[in-house]
This record gives sequence, C-alpha cells and structure tokens, in this order.
Amino acid sequence: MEIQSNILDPIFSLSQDLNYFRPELVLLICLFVCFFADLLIKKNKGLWLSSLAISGVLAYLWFSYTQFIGLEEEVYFMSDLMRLERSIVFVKLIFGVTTLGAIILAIKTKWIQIPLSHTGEYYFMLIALLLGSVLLPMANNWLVFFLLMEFLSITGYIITSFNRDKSSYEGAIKYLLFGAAASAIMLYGISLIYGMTGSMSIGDLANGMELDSGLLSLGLLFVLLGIFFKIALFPMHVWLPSAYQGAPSSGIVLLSVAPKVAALLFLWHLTSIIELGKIGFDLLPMFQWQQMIGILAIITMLGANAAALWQTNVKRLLAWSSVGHGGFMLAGVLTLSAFGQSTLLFYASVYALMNMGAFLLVLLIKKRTQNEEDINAFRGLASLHPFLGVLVTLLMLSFIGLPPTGGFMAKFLLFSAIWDTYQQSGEPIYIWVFAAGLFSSVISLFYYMKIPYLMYFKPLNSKDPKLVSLKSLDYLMMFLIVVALMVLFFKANWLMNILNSLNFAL
Amino acid sequence: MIHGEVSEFGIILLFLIGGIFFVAFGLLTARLIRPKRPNIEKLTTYESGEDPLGTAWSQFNTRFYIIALVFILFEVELVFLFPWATVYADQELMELTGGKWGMIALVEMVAFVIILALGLVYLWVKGFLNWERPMPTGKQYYSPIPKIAYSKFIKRRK
Repeated sequence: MEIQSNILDPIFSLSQDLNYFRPELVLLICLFVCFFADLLIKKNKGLWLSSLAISGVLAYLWFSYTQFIGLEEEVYFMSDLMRLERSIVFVKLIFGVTTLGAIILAIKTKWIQIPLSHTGEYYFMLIALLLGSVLLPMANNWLVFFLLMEFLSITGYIITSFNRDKSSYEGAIKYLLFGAAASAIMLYGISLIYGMTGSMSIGDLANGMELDSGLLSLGLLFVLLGIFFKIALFPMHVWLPSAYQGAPSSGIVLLSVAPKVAALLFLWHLTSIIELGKIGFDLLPMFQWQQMIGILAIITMLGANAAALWQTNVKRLLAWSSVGHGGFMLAGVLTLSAFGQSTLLFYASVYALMNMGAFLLVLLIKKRTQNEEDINAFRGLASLHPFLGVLVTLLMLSFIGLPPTGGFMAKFLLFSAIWDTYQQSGEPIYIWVFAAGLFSSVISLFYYMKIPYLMYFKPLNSKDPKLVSLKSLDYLMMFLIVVALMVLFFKANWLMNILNSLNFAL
Repeated sequence: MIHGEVSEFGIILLFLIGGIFFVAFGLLTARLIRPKRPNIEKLTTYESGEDPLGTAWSQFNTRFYIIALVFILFEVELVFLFPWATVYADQELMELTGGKWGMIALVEMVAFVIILALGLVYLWVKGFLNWERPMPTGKQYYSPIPKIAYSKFIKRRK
C-alpha cells in the first residue's frame, strides 16, 4: 500500500487543530448533556433542560469571545479542510445571541399539551442548528461543505415539523422536497467542479481558470442554487412561507437567521475565490457573476416585497420580509470589499435583533387569537397597551429602514457600500441594485406599517374571546430589543468600529 | 499490455463470473437429479406456513417501520466496521505516525458506535420499542328494552 505523506498530516496537528474548535466542542458537549437530561430527568424537566441549554450557549459565547480576541488573521487547519477568520467568529457571536433568544421564546411557548421547553428534542435540534451554522462558513472543502449543508437542512426540517399539526407537516414536507432537490443539484455541481479542477478544496478553484470553463461555471451555478436554497433567494424561495407558517415561532427566530447568514458568508468566500481566480462565469456571453447575482438580488428584493403586500397572516408576512432581507444581504455580497463585508455583518446583526422582536410579537398575538396568526388580531391593541404600540411602531420602522432605528443604519451603510463599489467599477448592475433596493424599501413601507395602523386606527374588536394580558417579562424583552435597535442607530459607530477592525488586512 | 497478475477490477469480474457460475451450476444439477411431481400445495407462494391471502400491497403497521429503522442503524454500523477493521492497527501506518494511528482510529470508531448506541437508548427510554397492543374495550350496548322488562319476564318464567 502506498501512502501519500500529506494524508497523515492531520494526525500530527490534531491537538493544535482542536484548539480552533473550542466553541463548537462546547456546543457538542451541551448537545449530549441536553440529550441525557431529556432521558434521565423526570422532575422539573423544563427548568433543568432550559437552564442546561442556556448555560451551554453562554459557555459557547464565552469561548467564541475569547477566540474573537485571540484570532488575528485567517487560518487554515485540519489540513485545509477548514478555515477561520475574524468575520466568521463575529458571526458565531450573533448566532449565539439569537439562539439564546430562541430558547427564551421556547420557554414561553405551549407545545401540544406541555410547554415546548419540556421537550429535550427541541433544544437538541436548536443547538444542532447552531452548531451546523457555526461550522458552515468555516468549510474550505466541498465535501465538508456538503455535509454541513445537509446537517443544517435536516435539523431545519425537524424544527419545521415540530408543531405536529397540519400546517406544520405541510411546511416541513415542502421544505424537505425542495431541500432534497436542491441538495441533489448541488451535489451534481460539486462533482462537476471536482471533475474540472481535480481537487476537493474550495481554494483550488482559483487554479482552474485555464480549463475549459463551460462545465466549471455550470457546476458553480448548481452549487449557487444549493446556497440560494439555504438563503431562500429568488429561484429557490418557494418553500419558505409555508415552512414559516407551520414552524414554531421560537424555531424560526434561529432558522431565519443562522443558516441564512452562514450560507451568505460562505457565498462571500466562494465569490471572492471566483473573483480571485478570474473564473469566467460565461454561461452566457458578457455575463459575469456580478450580473447574475445582481439580477437575482433585484428580483428577490422586488418580488418578495410585492408578495408580502397581499399577506394577511403575520407569519407569512414575516416570511416574505425575510426573503426580501435575504435579497438585501445578497446585494451586500456583490460589493466584495472590506467595507461591504462590515456593512453586511452590521445588517445581519440588526436583522437578527429585529426578527427576534417580530416573532416575540407573533407569540403574543397567537395567545390572543387562539393559534391564528391573523393580522387583524392587532386591531385596536394600542388602546389597551399603549406602550406596546410604541415599541411595535419602532420595530416596524426598523424593518422598513427608517430612522431612528438600527434598520435605517443597516440599509444606509449597505447602500453606501454598493454606491462605493459602483463608483470604483462603473458597472451598471450596481446602480440597478441600488435603485431596486430603494424602491423595494418604499414598497415595504405599506405592509410593515399595516401593523401599527391596525393597532392605532382601527377599533378594538369587542367580540374577542380573550384580551391579551401582557406580563412584564414580555414588555421587558420587547423593550430591550427595541432599545438595542435604537442604540444601533445613535451609536452605530460602536459596532462599525468593531466590524471595521475585523479584516484590517483585506 | 499483458500482466501476470489480475488487477483490482479483475478480481471483481472474477467474483461476478464465479457467482453466476455457482448459482447456475447448483440450479442445473438440481434440475437434472430431482424428481418432479408438482401439486397445488407445493406451487403456492411460501408465506411462513400460512395460506397467502390478497395482494402484497397491503398496509403495514407503522411500528414495523421503527423496528426496521433500528435494524438499519446497526446494519450500517456493521458495514462501516469492516473497512475500518482492515486499516485499524495497520503496521505501516502505525510506524509512520509513531503509534498515534491506532489510538485515533479506535477513538473515532468508539465515538461512531456510541452515537449509534445512543440512538437505541433514546428509542428505549422514550418507549418506542414497546410493542403497544390496542387494549380491548368492552362494547357498550344500550338496549331499547328497559331493565325492568327483563326482570318481569324472568319472574313470569318462574
């Protein structure tokens, strides 16, 4: 048997490589602890499970933070299977905070008869989803990438079907069928890329430029379709509204942020390699990857915001808005500059916060209307809860992207990054993306503002079976989220300074 | 281009040819030497000693599905154990890595087996392995004739 010497390299550097995996190892331990707690503990199960999960995620956040401080430049490890840079570690922190929010919402949710927090499987799936989305941007090998995409998808399907009712199964089966098709297409694309470059390493794409690039760009196109499925962008977004309608709200808080941003960061890595290798993405002549992604971003932004106008179910409305925000973030990927990356991460942080607030609101409304998330449940609510009315109005302003909220700063920074790129390159596609973004923000005004409008200007429906009694904890969570959004407006440079220091070398 | 040895794919071809020959040889000799006296009993489909009824496209209880899943779990484990066993503690690899190879191979396989075993533990504790039988519930029958009528009837018979 002849052994290539480099195959054995990971064995010698194993203990050193595992150092880079510290936050993930903490999550893995937390996963198994939750698993055993679910099986063994009988008394006070909900309390035990939720405190174990929360402490696990807090420990993970601490290790990510130390990693964030310790890491200086991009590193490749596990014999180039994985890579790590500071932007990825920053995203780990966002995901961790989002998971904390999802767990807190899960504690508040009633599952079929018992609270959702009493089911160990749910925590297991949430933490597994976190683990997968943390690892995905680190992938530097097509097989590792595919494995993590599947990991994310499968946990996603299970979380979507967790409500165990008709709409939940409907959403999950749509998600599953779409996901299976997307995975198959993506795997075929990966095999084409492997055939053309002869290497499983994603970084080696840049060396494939002398080859006949027709098949290579076809392979890349198929891989992009798989990534677009995860971000839920234009051709691959059809599953999303049904899945969001059926899934438990606490699950979507994580499901709509973590896999999306993880896939976007991976897309960033991939496009920077395409750009570096000057791979002619020439399926059609005169058609670079910028044009393709730009056109898809434009269609996604306009289409999703137009579709959201007709929704009367709050969750479906938020689902379409999530597709739209995905389009905005895709426009951020187009810039491919250091400033562009900072703005993208800023947008992702603001989006994660807003989403948490929105689904907290959905949970409150669900209590009121007995499991129907109809938008009419907001009628006249402000006369009952004036403070909630103010908070919701601010939250919706942030979704639209108006001052004085973090949503405004996020969109403002993202658009200025796109404008900068336009000034440098002079490609007309950037100005089109810019215009489409502005126009779709105007469209989004109508459906986001519907909620505060119903709250303030419509009379209270007196035939309501039950009026919402808001606990002070609900107010506190909502208040904290809105305050955080306001801080991101008034002191946006705090976060931007951190983000700008991420890739000093770029 | 004539080699003295068979290549890796050549071995597979030999296996195929050998397999086909073995089966054909067995069936042919059986056909030649066996007596042939068919009757209806012999010609029915074999169904564990039962008379086959209806089509094979009937609905199965979903409980079979869970048992099949658990079976697949350990079947897959076995499939992975065989190739692992051929490289585990490989002399050459052990020398190249200074003994680390065996340890890492062992730890990896133990982790794999433990994860699969945890799946079984989960099923067991959650009670998915219990073969739940439907409890027979007595049929409630409300007679339109009042009970007094019965007792009167019995009295009259006495």
